[in-house]
Amino acid sequence: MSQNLPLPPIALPGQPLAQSPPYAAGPGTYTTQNPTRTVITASVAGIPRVHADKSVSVTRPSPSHPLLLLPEVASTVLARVTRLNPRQATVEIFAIQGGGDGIHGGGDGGCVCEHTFQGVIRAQDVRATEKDRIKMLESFRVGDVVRAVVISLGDQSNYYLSTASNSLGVVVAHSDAGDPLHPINWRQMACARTGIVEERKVAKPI
Amino acid sequence: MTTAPPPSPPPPNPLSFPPATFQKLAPKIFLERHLQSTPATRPSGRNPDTFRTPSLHTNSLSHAHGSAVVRTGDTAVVCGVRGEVLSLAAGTGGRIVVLRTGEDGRGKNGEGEGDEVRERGLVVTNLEMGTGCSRDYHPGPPTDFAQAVTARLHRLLLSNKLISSQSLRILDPNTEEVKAYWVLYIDAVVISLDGNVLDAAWASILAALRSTRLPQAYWDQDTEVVVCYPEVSRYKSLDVKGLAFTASFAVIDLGAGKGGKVILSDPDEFEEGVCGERVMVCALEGEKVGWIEKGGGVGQVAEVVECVHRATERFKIWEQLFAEVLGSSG
Amino acid sequence: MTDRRRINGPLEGTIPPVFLTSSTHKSIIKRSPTTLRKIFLKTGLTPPATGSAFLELPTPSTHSTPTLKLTSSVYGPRPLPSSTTFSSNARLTAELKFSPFSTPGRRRGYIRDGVERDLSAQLSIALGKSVAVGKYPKSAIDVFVSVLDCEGGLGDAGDEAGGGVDVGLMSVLATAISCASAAIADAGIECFDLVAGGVAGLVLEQGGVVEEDRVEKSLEVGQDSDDARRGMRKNGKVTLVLDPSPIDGYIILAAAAVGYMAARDELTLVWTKGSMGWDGDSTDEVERIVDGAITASTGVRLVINEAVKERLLLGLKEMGLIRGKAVSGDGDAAMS
Repeated sequence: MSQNLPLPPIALPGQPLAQSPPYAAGPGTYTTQNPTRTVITASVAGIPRVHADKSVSVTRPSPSHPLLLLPEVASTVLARVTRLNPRQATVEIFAIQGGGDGIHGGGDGGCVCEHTFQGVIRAQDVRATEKDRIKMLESFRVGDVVRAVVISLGDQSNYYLSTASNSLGVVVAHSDAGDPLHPINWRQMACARTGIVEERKVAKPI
Repeated sequence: MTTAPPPSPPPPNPLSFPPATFQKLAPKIFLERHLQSTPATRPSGRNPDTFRTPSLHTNSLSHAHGSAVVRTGDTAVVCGVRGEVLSLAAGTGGRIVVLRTGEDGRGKNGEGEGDEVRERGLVVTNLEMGTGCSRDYHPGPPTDFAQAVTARLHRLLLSNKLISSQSLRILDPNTEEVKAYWVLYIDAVVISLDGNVLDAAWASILAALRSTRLPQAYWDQDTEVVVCYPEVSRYKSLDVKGLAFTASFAVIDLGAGKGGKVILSDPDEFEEGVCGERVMVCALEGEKVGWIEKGGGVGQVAEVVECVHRATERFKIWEQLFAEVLGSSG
Repeated sequence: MTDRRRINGPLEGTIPPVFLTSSTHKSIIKRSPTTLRKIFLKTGLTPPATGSAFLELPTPSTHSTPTLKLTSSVYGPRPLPSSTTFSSNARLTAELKFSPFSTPGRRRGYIRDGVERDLSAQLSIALGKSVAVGKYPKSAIDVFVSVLDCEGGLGDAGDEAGGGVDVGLMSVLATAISCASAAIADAGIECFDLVAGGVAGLVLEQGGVVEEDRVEKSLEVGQDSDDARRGMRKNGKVTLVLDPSPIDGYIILAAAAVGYMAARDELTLVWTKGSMGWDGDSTDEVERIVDGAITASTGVRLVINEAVKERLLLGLKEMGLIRGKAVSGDGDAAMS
């Protein structure tokens, strides 16, 4: 499926790859405007490829290193709850599961961040229905791991996240006694050992 | 919270995470699972009793009297030794400062060793970690951890009495009086950090000292200054007595019935973060032990003995490496 | 001054060894003016860092050749401390640090002095425009460069400069720029282009023999060093030398260091020292030196390219032969 575009086997930052009218810039590239034409240039060191939709991208192979990703709007993340108050839950984002552009071809699994980012889930973003009657203590507890989606870059210290979807919510939780909980339905989790049921906003298991 | 009817066996957890995510999610369980499998392994692939293979290069720095680079896995330390002259008459208006103990180390067949080194501060050890060696270490004043490791290295150096005061004295050739001393500035800079900085730093310091050649100095009576001969052929090696090598361990308790306590040799950064209990053994030649430290948990004496055994084995690896790179030990 | 957080030397102070006769390292190396010294550059030697590089100049031929050694590590993009104001661009900071054993003469302490601050600021400026900071909002990119070994002195008081301009610092800055760029490329941070550093100098020669002592003799008579140089210029031949080494023994009348992005043909940093244009159009001479420095940096850029490619190929091989085949192909989308 060659596009008849002669690409070098390895591209380095600053290396021109293609022209813009027929081709579009994908991840790992940027465009520069010349008076006569627009050139697509590589912005990372990696392998350039042309895709079916005529976009040119440069991807880096990433063996074992945790990847260089920032949470972007619409990317799914895994985060741990660190603080809780009636209006919002403060979380620490430690893994990003794609959803944004893929410059770094690390596969579709979770990509762990080297550095954790702080985020916030506001009460109105916990679930899609009955937003005004949410009780945070029935949705999350400190120490839970939640799957959420980034809705905004937020302000200087926090990303804004939302769990308002069936597949989003608590994925790993522990009871007050320290036992692991497993999900029963979208709002309850139970402990295997004692049978105690606790309330959470649970993510639908895949 | 309500109590449900008798719980049915829990369904298998449908959530599975890739290993890297799980490592971040629950580091302790991640490590425990590795150690509980058969055969017991660590996330890095090593066995619990395997140390990382060290590598050594010496004399790569242009302006240091002695230098060494030691790498164990992803931890790398560069050490440079420079000698400067401490004149006894300097800064005191021409008077010679006499130590309170009254000993300037002369006579007694060179005994009273180590006292001058310690009392006059002739060996200045420092460990610099603010080089961007790992994500927690920025340039700036040394962190508590760096200061603690520096103090341990300094203590080890003085207590092992590896450097004799005699080799640092500068004499007046006519009267055989001590007029000045060499002061050794030992600077270890950590280039890359993946756990267990102490072993690598100590080995680099020892290798740098062994490769140090100081200019030949004497006290010039006419000018009352210490002068050195410039010819490189007249440089003399430091008289470093013997060898000593440290071996550090991290201990994790898997719980009774699940494997008990496991001792991990040469822990990397991840393991150091998970395990609270630490042991350090400094082994000497002839299967002797110079220093033992243990802390962070409650353990049996048998654990410490196991660590001593592993440390003496490790000593042989280091000894062989030093013999290859530096020539036979003096 | 005692630094409370470190172990300090004796309070009375120590001095570096004083030799009977000053040792002359100055070897008159017959290198052609346009030959650059060989550089050894390897990336990825500090695995904990997002990107890293190690540079050695020149690759030593003998064990005792003094070399310039630097390592660089890059971290980022990582979250800013929450007290910082919101910024839609990444904040790039660069820090350069000399190890205590890196310079000849007096041992450097650990305390950050003006020289380090100055070079760090210059490094930030040189790298700042090359990184696509707009792609990483609310984050910090930190670049750390450690100088392990300087070839010659840094122009501190007491170093012998032979009456000319000292290029030690410029050489350190130019190589630091190159090393940091290689580390940034290794980290996979998006950039517009890679910056390479180069140095060039105007050197005084007469009949092919380097005149070391003539300037000093004139100085003895009490002349101003500038006047002395002017006098020399009228008599001697002035050559443009690329990549001058501080220990070559030349008298350098003026020098320039640049940070240059080769693919975009843009300069990010220009630093000149010395007086240019004694007899002739000074603009011409400035251009000449800066062009020389640009040529030197283009040579360095080729080395950076090679090092980054080599590392990439190594990573590809580690992932299996399948990827290896795609590289030699024409990069089409058949590879999935």
